[in-house]
Amino acid sequence: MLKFIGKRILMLIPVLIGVSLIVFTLMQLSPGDPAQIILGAQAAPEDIANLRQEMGLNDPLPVQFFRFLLGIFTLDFGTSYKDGLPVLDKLLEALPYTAELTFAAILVALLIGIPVGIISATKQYSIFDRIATVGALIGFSTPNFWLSIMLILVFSVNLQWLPVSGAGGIEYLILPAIALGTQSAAVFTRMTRSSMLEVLHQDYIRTARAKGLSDRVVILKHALKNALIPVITVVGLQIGLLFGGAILTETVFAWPGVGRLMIDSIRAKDTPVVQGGVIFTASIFVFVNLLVDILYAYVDPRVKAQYKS
Amino acid sequence: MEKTDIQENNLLQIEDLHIHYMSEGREIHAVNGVTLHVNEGETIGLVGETGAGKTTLALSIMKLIQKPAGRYAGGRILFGGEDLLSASENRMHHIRGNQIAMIFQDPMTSLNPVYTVGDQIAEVIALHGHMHAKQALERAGDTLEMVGIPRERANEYPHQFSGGMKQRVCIAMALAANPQLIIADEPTTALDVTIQAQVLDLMGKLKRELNTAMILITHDLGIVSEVCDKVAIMYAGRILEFGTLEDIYLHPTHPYTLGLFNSIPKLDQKISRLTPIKGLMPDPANLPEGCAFAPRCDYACPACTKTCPPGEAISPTHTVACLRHRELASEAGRN
Amino acid sequence: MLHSSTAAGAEARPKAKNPLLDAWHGLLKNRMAVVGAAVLLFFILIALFAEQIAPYPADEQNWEHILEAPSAAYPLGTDSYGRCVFSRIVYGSRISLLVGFIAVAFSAIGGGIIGACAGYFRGPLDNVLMRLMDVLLAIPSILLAIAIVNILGPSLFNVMVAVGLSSMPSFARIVRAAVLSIRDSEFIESAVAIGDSTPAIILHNILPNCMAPIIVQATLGVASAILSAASLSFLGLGLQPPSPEWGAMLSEGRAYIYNAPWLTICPGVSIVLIVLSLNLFGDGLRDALDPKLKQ
Repeated sequence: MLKFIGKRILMLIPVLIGVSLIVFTLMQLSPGDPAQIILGAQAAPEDIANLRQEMGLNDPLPVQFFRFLLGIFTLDFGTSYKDGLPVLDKLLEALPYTAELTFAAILVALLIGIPVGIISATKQYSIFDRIATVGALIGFSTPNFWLSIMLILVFSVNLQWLPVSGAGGIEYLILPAIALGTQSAAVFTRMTRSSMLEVLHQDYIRTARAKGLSDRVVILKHALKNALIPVITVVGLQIGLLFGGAILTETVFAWPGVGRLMIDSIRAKDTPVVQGGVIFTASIFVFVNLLVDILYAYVDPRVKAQYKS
Repeated sequence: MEKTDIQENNLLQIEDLHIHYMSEGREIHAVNGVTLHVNEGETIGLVGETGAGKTTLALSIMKLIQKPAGRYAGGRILFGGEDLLSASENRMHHIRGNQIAMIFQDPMTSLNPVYTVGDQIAEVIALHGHMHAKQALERAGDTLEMVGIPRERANEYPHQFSGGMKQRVCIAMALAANPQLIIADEPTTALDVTIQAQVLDLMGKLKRELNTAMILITHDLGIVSEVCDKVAIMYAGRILEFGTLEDIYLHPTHPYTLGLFNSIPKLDQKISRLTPIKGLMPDPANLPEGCAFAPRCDYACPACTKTCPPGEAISPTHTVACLRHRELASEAGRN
Repeated sequence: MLHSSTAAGAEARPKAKNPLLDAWHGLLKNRMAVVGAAVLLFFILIALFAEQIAPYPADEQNWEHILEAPSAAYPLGTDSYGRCVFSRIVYGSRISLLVGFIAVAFSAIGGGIIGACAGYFRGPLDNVLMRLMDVLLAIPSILLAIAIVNILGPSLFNVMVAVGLSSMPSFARIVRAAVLSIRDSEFIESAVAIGDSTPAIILHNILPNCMAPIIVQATLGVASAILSAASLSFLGLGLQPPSPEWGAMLSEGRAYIYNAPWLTICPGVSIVLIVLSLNLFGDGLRDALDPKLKQ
């Protein structure tokens, strides 16, 4: 098992190098001279030339990339063009907010998606199932930025129950978490329902019933653990997607997370922060998926056996 | 074989049972008036082709027919004198696994892949024996040893067992709460031939030791002759012939039973060609009027397509549902 | 008696020989898919006949009617420039459908080629291509689209490219899996044996046989492409304000959420409806084309 985890961690390295290469390439292609951006439009040409030399922008691209890569592996993402602060500090400052939001959104999604999916599957074709199925499709089709605005319209503007934007106590977290979590809730509902339906048709469920177990035990013990195995993978993917989706939710709610930092930096052409943000987000995504794979092995003894051999 | 008084130690009585279920908008008549009695400790072989309604009949005794697709369209099931069809679901939880247990056809898929076999056996013991999980796990070890699996293997998962071993686990699970009746639905069909014999021997041995009654569902007449006391021949949801092993094997009377025997090879006769039964089983959503076997029967007369023949006793232990059984018997006598 | 009974049995279970016809019947039986197709068709007709349907041109400003609530003259009210929201939404449907379909066509072709090559040639090429796709998949697609459109600059075409590129890896994966599953079949071997060229085999023998998952992914892909494009515009990185793109309209309307909520409600509802119709239709297609997935 440990060997498997070690192997998977080693496999992350090429993926992260790849991500760095893509990000580096994209940033090389983006318009604007960094030296110009730092010094402003009025700067003298010789100052710009000096700064370019100083920043190593005249070095060959492979050298620049190697320096960039070395920086990433020593957790040095450079400094912001805007305020000269280290990018890593800025990211680490914003990360808790995004983590809090993403965690709350996943929690909302799981608390809605899994129970609704279970009930839907056990009462297939009932009114509840039909409403849940259509509801999930609507939830899946609703962009989170629009849902954010609608939630603000209803709960902040009209009912005035919750604050419009910003970060602070739990009351600030409720609306963004719902807005961000709705799409994932829809995905979990659909996944749990279909996976549960498949499991409920398995022979071992009939065996469990033949033992004299009540429906509740059959569903919650025998069916659920099997049905959740595919759902776990989806949870991992959703966490990654939520990190992306949070960009929009954070923008609407003025939530000071990584997403908003990146949008602000794109607007300000603050390339190092954007680069760092993308790599940071991708690393978290890849890492979460690794955690999910390991969790997978703990839930499903067949997978665990595979890794052992 | 000694005659037993049917009333005295009767365990299960199925009377004129009808089961219909809906499939793709069609009503399937899976069981059409089955009457079957099982006495304590005896083994009945339920023989028939695929689709004859054997599994539906078995599941119906456990009240495990899929609802709402399947429904009981008539008849009674009495278990120890208790009417199961009017029993509450709670009552059935007490009966299932405890008084009536079932062994399913495919051991590969019948065990839950994410729990250890020990846990799965202990679950039955804890549920019906009202004991703590730890105690139940201990007892589960005993049960495993009873079916010839070392108790240390209780901590292993189903995927670590071979097919035959898994079926032993299923048997252990079925016997764990000491049921009065075991329903085994083709328990050896999915196994290798060499393993089949081992599993059957084991089932026979345990059944005798624990004096459990058993309904053994199979399409293999060879298995029946080794294990069973009585035999019921089932076709298109009805029992066409019922009797002791002797009755059926030495004096088969129904044309369908005769057809079954002619389509298996015999060691003591030299036959160059087996005679299969011509045609196919009728569509269970569209059964012919009269005897369901008539369209395939060599001896069918016009009356056979009109009236559904009732079971008729031709000896105290032997019942046949055929309009022409007397003529056939005399014909057989002439030959 | 015997004949009549078996004949009736056969009639009750019709077995269409043609799998496409089968799929079509399955699709028609799926009420949700039919509703989805109808709504989608409705939007396509609106987009085609925008000039006839919209009461005003998309950018006609009327300073006497600013931020007016919905009325007979302005069915969905007016915005801060006195433009008719209904007309803008009607014209905006063109942009959304265009971006959705072209971006998906782009990623289906690109991802299809990558996936087909990886699946057909396997070996090192497969390894390199799929690892590249893995890397791209490690970046959330909206983030990738943002990064790309940031480089290319905001325009309709660039939004299509950005959205298309960011959804290419998932296409490549699906096509690769489909190609792998049929490349060892005997009819491919026989095509190789009679000396067909490799591109011909891929185009004529392999791709047509893995169309089902591609079609399903494409339909669902249009839905998510429309969402991504609207997200980009909402962030101010896609189509810019005078354009009646729904995401851009939402972004503009946000400022007036207190006194003119129809500016944010109407474009949002349009996005949800069009995306929902595509998802309903795509789900129905998947069920109809892949009976294995149904239950």
